[in-house]
Amino acid sequence: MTRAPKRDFREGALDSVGVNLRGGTPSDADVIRASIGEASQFALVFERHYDRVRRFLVRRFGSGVGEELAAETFAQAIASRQRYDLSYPDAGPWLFGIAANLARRHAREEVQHLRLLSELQQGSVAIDPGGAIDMRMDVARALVALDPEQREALLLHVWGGFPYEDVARVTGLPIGTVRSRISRGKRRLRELLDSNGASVGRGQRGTVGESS
Amino acid sequence: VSDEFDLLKRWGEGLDVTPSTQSRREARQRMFDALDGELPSNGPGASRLKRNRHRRRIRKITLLAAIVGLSLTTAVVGAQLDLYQTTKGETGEQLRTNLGLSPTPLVDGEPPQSLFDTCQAPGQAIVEVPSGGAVCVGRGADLRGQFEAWDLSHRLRGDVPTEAEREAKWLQLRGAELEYQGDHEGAMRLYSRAADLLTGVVEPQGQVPRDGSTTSGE
Repeated sequence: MTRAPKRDFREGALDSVGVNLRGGTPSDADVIRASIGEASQFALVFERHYDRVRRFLVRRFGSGVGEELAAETFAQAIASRQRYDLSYPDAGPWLFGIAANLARRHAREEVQHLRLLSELQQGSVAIDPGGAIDMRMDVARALVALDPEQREALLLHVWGGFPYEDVARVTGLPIGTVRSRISRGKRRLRELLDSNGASVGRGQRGTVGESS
Repeated sequence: VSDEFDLLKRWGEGLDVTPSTQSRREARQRMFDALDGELPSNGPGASRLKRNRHRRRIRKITLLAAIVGLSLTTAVVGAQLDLYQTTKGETGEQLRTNLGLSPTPLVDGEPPQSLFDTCQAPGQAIVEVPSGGAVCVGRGADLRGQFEAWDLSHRLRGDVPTEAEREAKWLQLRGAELEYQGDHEGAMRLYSRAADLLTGVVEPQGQVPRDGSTTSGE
């Protein structure tokens, strides 16, 4: 018996995008426009943005809640695709806007996640006497202490990779407010790290990103 | 790049965990599930959708339980192992090996992502235990593995369980199994003894899995 290829019944959407949207790489807006008539086209938006959205949310919430929120982001996106403003070629800020709304509703879990990261320090000291983990925990503690609005803007800018203009689009705030929140958040982060005894850039307690 | 931005960026990169193909596939399927009116109402696709909806319901229960602070065994240890991986560069499986624990059974060739992933075989079910938390019970359910996962999650947090706590947890897992089998009285007996252990009314008798064998003593 010939075994059929194991494929999701909707995975053909990627192929059909190429057929239906000839003439160069379609923008997200093109794909979303096409998906209004044929929902399977939206798979290309998923393929383009899922990893980035998931990564952002998993960093903030851990893998369990983060993946749940990432999946919900795309479920809400496809259900509301008809309301997408097609004048924006890149759907990234729109998707992160949905993700940010979901994230705000789960603010408590974000704090729990960051605190858990901090608490892990206790169990990690014995196996990491070099102290590289100390710096990581300092950052976790500092993020917990940040004002939630400053934290959101800062993380969208630094982790989401969005310029100020796109952070404004994600959050629906005036760009001046975004600039102010990021600036104040950055200053507060420095104060918190200094008060924890971790001097940014000094590296005496281990370089961030390395494992001892 | 400013120092603070660079620090935050690099710290965030240290938290990244590679997504499993399964979670990605489920997210993609869930996205299409959101289009109720545009989905097939019968056939293989519909069957898969029903199954995925069921999985999501269980996931939501798991998530809800986590939010209200219950100690869902596998979900908790999964999160802990992910965190450990990011801070030490060692996988959960390597950690389990180093600690002399049995390997986690794979699901579709990948590590399980949730309690539901490990509890899908016919004749298995997820049962809550009185102390809060849930356990996979039924035919072929790995009670010992779940016990080890719970134990490991606490050790990773630096909260090493006492012998009384370990024995109480083991009795609770076995109680849940008995309850699933319909032996309510037997389950209550084990739950009661677990409560007595936790309150110090009785002393532990060493009735926990050790060295590849399971001591029941009941």
